[in-house]
Amino acid sequence: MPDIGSFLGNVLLGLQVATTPENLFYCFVGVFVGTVVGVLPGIGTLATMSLLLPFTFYLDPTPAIVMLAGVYYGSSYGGSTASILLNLPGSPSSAVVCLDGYPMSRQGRGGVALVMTAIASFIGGSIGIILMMLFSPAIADIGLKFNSPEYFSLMLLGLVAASMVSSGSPVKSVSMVVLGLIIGMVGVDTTSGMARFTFGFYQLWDGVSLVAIAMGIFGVAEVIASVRAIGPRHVDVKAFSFRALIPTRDDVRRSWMPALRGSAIGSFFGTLPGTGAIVASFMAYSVEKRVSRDPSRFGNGAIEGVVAPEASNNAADQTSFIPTFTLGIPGSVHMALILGIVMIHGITPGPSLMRESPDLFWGLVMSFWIGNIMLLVLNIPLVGLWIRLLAIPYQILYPAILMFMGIGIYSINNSIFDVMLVVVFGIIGYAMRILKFSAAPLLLGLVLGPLMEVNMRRSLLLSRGDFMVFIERPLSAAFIVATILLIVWVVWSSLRNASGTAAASAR
Amino acid sequence: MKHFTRSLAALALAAGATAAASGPSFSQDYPTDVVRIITGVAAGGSTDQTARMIAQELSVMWDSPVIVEPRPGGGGAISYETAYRAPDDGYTILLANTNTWYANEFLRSTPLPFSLNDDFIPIAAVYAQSLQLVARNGLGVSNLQELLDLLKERGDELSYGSFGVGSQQHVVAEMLFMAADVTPAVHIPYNGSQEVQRALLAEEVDFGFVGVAGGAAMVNEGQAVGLAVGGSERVPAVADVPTLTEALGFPFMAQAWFVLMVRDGTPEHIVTKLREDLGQLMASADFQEKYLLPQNFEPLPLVGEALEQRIQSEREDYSAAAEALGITLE
Repeated sequence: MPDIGSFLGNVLLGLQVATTPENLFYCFVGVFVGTVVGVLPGIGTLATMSLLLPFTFYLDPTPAIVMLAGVYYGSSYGGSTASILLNLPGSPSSAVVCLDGYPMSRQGRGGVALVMTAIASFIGGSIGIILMMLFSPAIADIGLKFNSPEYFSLMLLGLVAASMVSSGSPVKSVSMVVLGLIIGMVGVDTTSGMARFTFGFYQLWDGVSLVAIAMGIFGVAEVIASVRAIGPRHVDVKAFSFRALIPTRDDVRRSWMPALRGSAIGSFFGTLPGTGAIVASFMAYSVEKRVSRDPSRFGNGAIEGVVAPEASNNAADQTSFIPTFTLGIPGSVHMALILGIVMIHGITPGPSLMRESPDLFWGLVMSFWIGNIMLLVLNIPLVGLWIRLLAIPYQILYPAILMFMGIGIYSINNSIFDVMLVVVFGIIGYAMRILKFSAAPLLLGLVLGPLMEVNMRRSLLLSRGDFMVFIERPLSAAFIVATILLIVWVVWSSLRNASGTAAASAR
Repeated sequence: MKHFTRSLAALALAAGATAAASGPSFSQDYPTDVVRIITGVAAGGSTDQTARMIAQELSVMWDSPVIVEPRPGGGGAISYETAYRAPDDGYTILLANTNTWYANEFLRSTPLPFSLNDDFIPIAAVYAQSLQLVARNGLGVSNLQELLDLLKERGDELSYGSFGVGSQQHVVAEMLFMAADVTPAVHIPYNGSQEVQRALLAEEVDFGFVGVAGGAAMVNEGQAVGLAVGGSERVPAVADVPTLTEALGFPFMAQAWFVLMVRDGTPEHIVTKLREDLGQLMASADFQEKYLLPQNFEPLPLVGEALEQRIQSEREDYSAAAEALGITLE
């Protein structure tokens, strides 16, 4: 904990930098572009940041980063909009919001979901920023305690926690996890350099695009299903009234704890390079389902399932700046791009950044917070506009969606192959829907599987094949013990339930 | 579709307020349309950034839009194939990393259906990016000789990190073990240079090659020990760290460099113009000071014969090393 005097001095310095008209202007441009990019499915945040890059050569480093960072975290705000209204994830980290956000929208509560996500995003972002202000160097040090064995054990815990609490048939859920793990294996194996399940396509060397899968399984499947649905859709006019946007007292009561838990989870994963917002949002969702008294509500429009992942991915967006600035190690390509700008302007990222360029560091931190406020102010009124998307007739809306998806996915890697993947996964997603397989475990296996595998094999390479490495290190051992306790508890409680009513065991 | 993409991209460029707005120039016959620079990496990385800097400067110089088209994947192979399948009219320029080029040429068990060497004409080298050999603090070595002594003694107990199997960091490290005649340390592949840096800070691996820029920050902060840099000269950011050649006493380079190429068959006058314009740009002090030096990239204004010679001699070295080391990629 830094001493209060210098801390306040830094905050004031930061505010001074962040509130110059120039920085405010670029902050607004950034978050506005970010929101728009986030709402449009698949238009890559990274591609947008790259397009803006040449422009930043003419700017000072602070406004340049303020703007690009605004695009980055702004897109997370917008990313959930299409997920909730149209079942169409704008980015992988907002895929998880589809699970409960879209059902809410079907129940005429899309406006509430959007308002709550904007608020949750703000809470998550703010908590991430506060942590960044208070504990940046300390958090970066904790991050370094995580070596491969810890990564593996943590991912194992996450996967077990998520897959063991699932509504519906456990067999179906486990089989979806396994399918996710298999799809996650596609590509060149890091450890051996061999291509797996690529069937001779170079396009699969880097794995199956997560965006393509999310778009296919949620978006395209939704479109196919709607084609088969007979009869005109009812548009509930009440859904567009201002009243329909106001969350009920029950919504608020249910949401504040998930928002805080989500923020905590997101803040943690944001600081772990290689995991970030995607893992954070899935973990937050799994935790909410785990702690909920009635897990069956999840997947049917539970507000907790919308709020927690949104708070989480926004908190992760903010805390991912911590390793970038304090260690000079970017956790994601987005961060690498921002580091590149810092360097082009002759500033060395690393532990000395906070010391040597305090105006840059604190100016950025404060501008992130101002950006979050702008996003909140920008997004809540926009909800009224977005919700009207639902009033567009299917025959116009759905072809438009397909077109946007096609352009979006193509723009990421300039790859027709990825467009085809969306179609393939759309068909798979539709089949899963008919057969009542849930998408959550599949995505979870897909996201966590590759991280787990590569860290397990790396740990074993480093230990020269000794499995003890996972229990000799205290942090790793703690995660393993937690995993075992979790399994024991789940088995015990299901046995207890089985001896009780048959209805309880049917879950 | 291609024209659609081009005009879309041109539109995006105009919207980005980058191109000079005075309209295309008709005083010359090239370029009269959008020129695209194909890269093999996803948007956002340092190669992408450099490509965008070049595109930016060229569009000003030519008064005609130049765009960057990232075609990531397949260890560079997708970008090569895209450039190979494009018409040989000079409107598609490939920005190739020589290391992924050599890896694709010499390490793959199933060769690509075309050759970067035979089917492309090198136009100009862009810049070189040296690697830096860095050891974790806890290893207790302070220079390259101490590391080599340690490797001789118990090399099989040490681990080093690399960018991945068949990556430059991997191949260079193995070449170093061979050249210095020491016991090779165990290779731990990571997904990128940043992960290797992180592993060194977390003391997960003992040593490894990292990009000179990222390495410089670690070394100057005392978070890791800089043992040697891989260029022909020392790097200003870590002036105390010797080059590998100095530390070893014989020539040894660990450098990635980038080259702009066009499809074989491109009309002669376009090749000449590209060589002149790009050569001039790469040699300009303004370009070097603005874009290359701040990122610790080493300017490498090579064109024509000198460029082709460097490529041929490196290919021979690489091919010999690849055979001796037995590293293969799918």
